[in-house]
Parts: sequence; structure tokens; C-alpha cells
Amino acid sequence: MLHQLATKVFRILIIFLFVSGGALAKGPPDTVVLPDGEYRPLLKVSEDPSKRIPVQAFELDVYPVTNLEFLQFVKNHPKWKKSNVLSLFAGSEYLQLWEGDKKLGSKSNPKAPVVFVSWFAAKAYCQAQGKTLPTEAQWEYAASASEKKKYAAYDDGAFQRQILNWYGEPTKHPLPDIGQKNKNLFGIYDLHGLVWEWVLDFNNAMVTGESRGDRALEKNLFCGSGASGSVDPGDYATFMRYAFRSSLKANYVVSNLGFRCAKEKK
Amino acid sequence: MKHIVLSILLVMCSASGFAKDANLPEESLYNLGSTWKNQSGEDVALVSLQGEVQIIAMIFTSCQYACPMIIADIKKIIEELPKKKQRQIHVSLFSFDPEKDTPKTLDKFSKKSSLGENWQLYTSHDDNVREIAAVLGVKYKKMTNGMFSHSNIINIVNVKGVVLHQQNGINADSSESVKILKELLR
Repeated sequence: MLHQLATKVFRILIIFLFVSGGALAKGPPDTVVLPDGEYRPLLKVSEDPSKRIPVQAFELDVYPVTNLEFLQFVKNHPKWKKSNVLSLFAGSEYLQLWEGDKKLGSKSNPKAPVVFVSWFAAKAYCQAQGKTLPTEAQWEYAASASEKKKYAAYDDGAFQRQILNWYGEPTKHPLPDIGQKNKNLFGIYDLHGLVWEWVLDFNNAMVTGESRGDRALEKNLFCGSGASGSVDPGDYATFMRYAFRSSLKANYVVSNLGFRCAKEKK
Repeated sequence: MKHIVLSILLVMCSASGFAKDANLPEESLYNLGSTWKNQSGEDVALVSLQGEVQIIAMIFTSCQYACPMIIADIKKIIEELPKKKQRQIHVSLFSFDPEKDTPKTLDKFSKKSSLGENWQLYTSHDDNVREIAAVLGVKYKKMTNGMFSHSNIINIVNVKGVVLHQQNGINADSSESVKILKELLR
């Protein structure tokens, strides 16, 4: 009787240690609170072209989501396994570099950002963590900071060139670990330099894809289109990001497109 | 005899209407699984739209320019169908604007625009709006003045929720939409 009780207590103790150990191994939450700020949208959102949009303080992941983290999510949410996912939610190349449903294999570094994930998959991952994808405004605000300066992406030529240079480099797989370099003023890593990232409202740009068509067609294609137009055509890096986003669809998966999560500040 | 055939048909129709979790094609937008409120304030699961041929579009009711024109375009498409077939078309309009478009507002808008009984207007929260816009390929953005800029797409959707055709832009050529609807209703 006593022996049985002791075994029981021992088991509970082991489970407790295992659970708390798991929590400890995860370390402190890898997020940073960004203070109130603003971002300059590429496309005008009002008649005043210099208008900057206020961004309320929010929490953002320090790193992009890694293969290992996404693997854990897939294990817990079988709907998002390669073999289960619906084509409505992710294209056929979803998690293409993984060797199997629950196996990363040699082409995927566990500590590198997960890529070949769709918007739906990224959103579901963040939701499972009690978070969301950052909005374009939040992401752009965070990513406008260089190592030393807020809003460097808007007026610091050297920083703009640095980003552009990276855009010019081909993506090599397996990708390197997160958090090696590219830390910005807020303490956030890899917003530039590793992979591109999904944002919640990736589908907000009013372009048709046919540049000459945009002006003539836009009045009929888009409600309120009279207000659109680029703020600073010279800011090429930003322009490329917006162009890339506007070419995406929610079930697209791309070899250098990952994500990180955000959270409203309580 | 005629009556028997008719009643068999009726039973078949209503049976298909109830088969809510029947196997949907992977690309069916009803796989989204969201729930919306219609203009009568009733909860409507997206998946329950299956079983009918649908014309689906996104609007917001405080829209001055494009949205009334999308509605006019949809009416035009329907009018080009044979009279008998027109009643079989269901129209579902999804609002971009959870904040302003309450069921009550949708109801007022529906009456003001004299939308028929086969027209349903739906509102929900931001996340559901974002997801349905994403699968329909609709781009949209809330402007600082509370309006939405958005692409104008009329979707022709089969009974299983698969988008067969997208009519892009206002006052666009509707012949393809009409052709596909005729095939669907044959």
C-alpha cells in the first residue's frame, strides 16, 4: 500500500520535473515590446503624401520561426502536416525541404527559419501560440530600424543599400541559424538578411500587376483608388517588399519566405 | 407522374442542402469553416452555402462608388439568364467592415438596394474577413477615413464552393460569367 503510494508520488514528481524542465528549456519568451511608433506606407493612405501612420506599442518575436519550432507545431496540429494540408491553405510545395511529415532531413537546418509555408499555415502557427502575424505596419515599423537608428530605412542611404544588397543575393539552402547577425535597435534579429516574412495584411496593395494598366484601370478595379500612389519611388528596397507581397496569394509557399509572430500589448 | 418526379427532385435538393460535411473539394472556399451573421442577425456557417450556385462578392455598405456598381453588375449577370433559372442563383455579399456593417445596417442596405430574397449579406470579425478575402484573391485596405479600398471581383461559385470564374473590375465583360452560370444551371 505504502509502496504503491510512493510509486505514485514518484511518478507525479517525474512528470512534474519533465513538464517544468520542458518549460525551462524553452527559456524566457523570445519577444520584445516595441514602443509606440510610426511607419511610412509606400502607398498613400490619405491625400497627404508625407503622412506617417501611427503604430501602437506591440510585442514582436525576436527571431523568425524556425524549422524545429514549426515541426513541433505540425506534430501537435496534424491538419498542417504536409500530407494533410488542403490545397486551399497551402500549395503543393508546402514544406518542400522537409524530408517527411515529421522529419526535417538534410536540407532543413532545425535552427534556420522555416520556409515554404503559406500565409494560412503561418497564421495558424501564431494563433496556436496565442499570437498573430504582425501587420504590415507593425513589421515595417520594426524593420525600419537599423542597428543604431530608428526609421533608418526611410532616410539612411547606407542602410537602404545594405538591404538592397541582400535582396540581390540568391537564397542558399540549408539556411543558416537564426540570431547570428542583423540585430536591430529594438533587439530584433533577422528582419533583413535571412528570409522575407509574411505579414497579416499582405493582400492590401492595390496594384494589378500590369503597371501601365494600373492608372487607367484602377478607378474601376479598386474602390477608393484615387488615393493610391507611391510616397517615395526612390526607396527601392521598400518598393520591392511591397511588390513581392502584392504578388503573393494566401496559399503560396516560397523558398525564402518565412514568418514571425506578434502580439497586441496588454 | 409529374408530381412524383417533382417531389423526388425536391427531396434530393433538400437532402443535398443538409449534407453539410460531405466531402468538399480541397480548393472549396467552404473549407474555411467560418461563421457569419446575415442581415437577419442569424448565424450562418459558410459551409451551409453549399448546394446552391452562388455569386459571391465583397462589399461594404458605406461605399459610395464601387459597391453599388458591383451590385448592379451582379444584377445584370442574373438578368441575362433565362427567367426560370434566375431564381436558382444565390448571391452572397461579404462585408469588409465588421465595425459599421452590423446585421441591422446590412438589412437596411439590402432594402434600400432592393435586393431579392436570394441575396444574403454577411458580416463577421476581422479575421474571417481577412481569410475569405485571401482565398478569393481580393485585396483591400482600410483607409484613414474609414473607407476601404478594395479590388472588385465577382466570383462564380459552384455548389461545392469552388470558384469557377472571377469577373474582375466594374462594368467588365460578363459574357463568361453568364456562360458558366448557364452551364451550372443546366
